[in-house]
Amino acid sequence: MVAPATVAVALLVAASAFFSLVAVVGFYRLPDVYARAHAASKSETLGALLGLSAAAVAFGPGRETFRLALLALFVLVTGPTAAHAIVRAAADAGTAPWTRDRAATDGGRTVTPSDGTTAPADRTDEGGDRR
Amino acid sequence: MTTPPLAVDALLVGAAGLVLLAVLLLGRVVLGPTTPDRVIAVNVVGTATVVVIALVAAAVDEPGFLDVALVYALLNFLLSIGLAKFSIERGGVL
Repeated sequence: MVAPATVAVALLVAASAFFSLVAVVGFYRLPDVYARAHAASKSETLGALLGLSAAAVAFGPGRETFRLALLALFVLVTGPTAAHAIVRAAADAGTAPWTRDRAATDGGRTVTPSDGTTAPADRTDEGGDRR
Repeated sequence: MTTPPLAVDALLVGAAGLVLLAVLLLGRVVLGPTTPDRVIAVNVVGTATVVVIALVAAAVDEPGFLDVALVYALLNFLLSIGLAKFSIERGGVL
């Protein structure tokens, strides 16, 4: 007879691996950095929370539960915040979002540099106050 | 509370799977056409590492590893924010 806690641990670990797999698939299939930020901030955060709860169930009630809850809260707050900060920096650097028109020309896989990935002209008007 | 052997197996298998997925994500770090792509992928690899540390801590019944995971999560967040802030000449990022 398998203990219920063991079943819960196995299910939570499997769910965590599944959502992390979804994040990895999203990283390879989605077209540009703005779309990939979704895979980073949603799927990966949910997968991390499920994995941390699996660890919490395996430890059982005690001081470790509090530490893991702190860790889960921290992952929940910082994961999407970091993705947001990186994407905002990318937007300010002039990275053009993916569109269907561009997908017809380059297969939709990359943001072409000619469309503003490296845009020194965009930088001069936004960062001019700091120079 | 001692962790039952089957739960230890599940935790270790899950940790191995997450390590495999993190290694797969390194492909995006190498490929990713722009720098923000790479930074986001590295951030996700760091998050997966935090979870792997927590799972291994539960598997070997070593609560001290959780402090390592907490510090790793803090450093991971700091890395992403720092790269987002200093990769572009601007004041605030968040």
